[in-house]
Order: sequence, then C-alpha cells, then structure tokens
Amino acid sequence: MSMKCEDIERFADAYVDGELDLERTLALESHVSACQACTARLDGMRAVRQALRTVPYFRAPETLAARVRTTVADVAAATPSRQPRSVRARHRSWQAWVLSAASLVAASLVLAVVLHERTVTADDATTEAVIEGHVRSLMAGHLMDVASTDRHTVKPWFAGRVDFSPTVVDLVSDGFPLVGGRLDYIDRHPAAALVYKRRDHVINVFVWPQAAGSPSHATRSDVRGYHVISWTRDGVAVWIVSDLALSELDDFGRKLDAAMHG
Amino acid sequence: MSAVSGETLLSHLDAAYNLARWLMGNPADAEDVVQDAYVRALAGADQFRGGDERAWLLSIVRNGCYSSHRRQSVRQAADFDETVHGEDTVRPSPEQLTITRDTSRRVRRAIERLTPDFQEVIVLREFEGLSYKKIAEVVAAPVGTVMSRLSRARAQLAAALAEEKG
Repeated sequence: MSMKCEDIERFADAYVDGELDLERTLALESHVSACQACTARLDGMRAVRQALRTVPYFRAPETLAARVRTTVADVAAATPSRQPRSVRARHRSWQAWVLSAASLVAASLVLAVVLHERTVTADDATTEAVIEGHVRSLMAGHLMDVASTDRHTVKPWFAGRVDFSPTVVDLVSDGFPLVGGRLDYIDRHPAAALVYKRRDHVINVFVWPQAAGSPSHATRSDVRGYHVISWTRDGVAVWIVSDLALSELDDFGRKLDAAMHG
Repeated sequence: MSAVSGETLLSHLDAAYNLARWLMGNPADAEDVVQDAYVRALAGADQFRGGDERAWLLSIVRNGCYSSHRRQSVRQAADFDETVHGEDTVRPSPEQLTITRDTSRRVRRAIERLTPDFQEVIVLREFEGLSYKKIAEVVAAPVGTVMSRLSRARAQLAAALAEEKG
C-alpha cells in the first residue's frame, strides 16, 4: 500500500489517535518520512494535541458528588430485594430441587460476575497507576536510573534493588531500542521499569512478579491519549504504556512477549 | 438482572460532569444535568443491555445537555465573549505553538467556541480517551461521522490558536 498527500489528510487523525490499522500506519509513516508538508501537518496536529493536554479536567464538585451519592443510595433502598425468601412446604417437592439447582447456578454466575468486576476494577486502578508512572517519568525528567542500550548492563542493575530478576530483552532490530531502566512503584509495590523508544515516543514497560494466586489477565485500554497493554505470563505481570499509536504498541507488545518468553 | 450498578455509575461521575460542564458552559447547569442523568440512568439500569457503562452514562448526560439547551435555549456565545475582550497581551513565538501559562486559557476558549457537535467529540476523545467506536455510541452517529467531526474540530482549533498567536 502506498499513500499520497490526500490519503494522509484523510487518515492523519486516525493515525494520531492510534485508530489506524497496522498496514495503513506503515504506509502513512513511509509517506510522511519522505514528505515535508505531511510531516509539518502531523507536527501541527501534535502541537494542538499537546495544547489540549494543558486544559484542566473538570472534576465533579464535592457538592454534586454528595447529591448523586444520595440519589444512588435512595434508589438502592427503594428497590425491593428481588428474591424474597420464604420457606414453603411445596419447596420440598421435586420442583424445589430444580429450583435450588437453578439458584445455585445463578449464584455462581453472580459470583463469577462479581469476581470479574473486581478484577476489572483492580486492573483499572493498575492502569491508572501505570499511566501515572509513565507521566511522572516524563515530567520529572526521571526517565532512567540506568541509561544503557545494553541489556547486560540494565539487567544486573536491578539486582539488589528489586527482589526478582526482570527479563531484559533487546528489540533494537525490531525498531524499538532499549534505552535504560529505573526503579518505580506501581500500586505500592516495586516494579522494574524498562524504557524503550520508538522514534520520539517513550515506551515504559513495568514488570513485577504476580502475587501468588492472582488470576492471569490481559488488558488493553486507552486512557487520556495513552495506550496501556498488559498481560501475565509465567507469574510475571507486564504492563506497557505509551502515547504511541495503538497498532504499533500492539506490535511492540507481541515482540516483547515473544522475546521474553521465547 | 440489572446489568449496571449505582456503584459503577458513580465511578464515572467525573467523566459525566466534565462532559456536561463543557456542553453546558457553566457549573450550575452542568450539575443539574448530571444529577438528572443519574436519576434517569438508575431508573433505566434494568434496560442496560451490556456494553460500556461509561459510554452509556455519557450518552444520557449528553442527551440531557441537548434537551436542557432546547428547553432554556441557553445562550452559548454571549457568556464567553465577555472573557475575550481586553486580554491577549502575550504573543507566543510564531514558529511554534509555544506552551505557556496562557496556552491552557487560549485552548479552553477555542474549545468553548466550537459548536456542540464538535465540542463533544473533542471532549470525549481528548479528555476521556474514548475510542472512535465508543464516541460513536455516545453521540449516536456512525464512526465515519465521528472521524470527520474530530478532524474538522481539530482543524478549527488549530486555526483558532494560530489566529490568536497573530
């Protein structure tokens, strides 16, 4: 696939938003790398985006939060319990067995849903923490404690700083050079942060050992212009975050996963 | 079984307020719309057919804003113009959109001047980070329409910011 300037005009927004598929992303990038006008166009769009980030977010005032909480509580109180329990003689009939079997299934479904929701909520919190870690690393100018493109330098640096040994892989041949690592804290536990780059985009990879017994998970989210992809494998949680186009971050994720566990 | 809980809806309160605050243009109307949207959402919680709770809630907030506008025929531009006059003493470098203390105020004003259909896609995309698909759900328009609105909205913002630079 090759693109002309008109195509760039059409797809630039989707590209900047990370909504363009990989094939078009590559075609767009190959055109832009050779076209000054389109480079300027993308730079202009990024500048607008940057400017938009300076606008403060309107958080709900506490008075409103209190009002809404009251509304929610009122509705919850007004809703009658859906399954009034009364013990009747006919429950002893064979129908009762069917009913209790059915309610057992229903109960386990509810439990499954509750567990699922809990996992989602925990993942949401971690997603926020990971984005915070990413933003902090960029804003505080504290991107790296150890600056090195050599994984044999980065990996030993973590020894004695975290109580696990992160797998550090080099993806320079895939276009994602390792630039360093640092110690970070996500959700109150220490994490090894590995820093990779793609052009001028920073990718933070947070790695920590998964707590015993936690379910393995995989998430993919898009929060305030940052993309976060995570998974667990072999007891290790991996969270990657960047403002890179989602298709490219996916590509990075696949290569990282393959290299770490290959 | 109702598929969405009050608890879940509460967790999206900031998103609901942020959208309403932009679309209504002032805190008092935004609060009323959000409060009303929660009453509606809770009443209709049983009708929620799965999917994204946040997008669902935001679509209710958004519709509330539009009906409120229709009811009161709230003046959009008048309020904002007052803040426009007598400022603009700072002129950032023309080569680039310099990020200054002033930028935030300028951008805010530029967003406020967009028409609501452009404003909402900018807010949902840039401040809520919603995907095109979810924005389409909220504003009840096809993804292609969302894409073109976003693109035109950004072009207008860029133009407005460039103009201010002088």
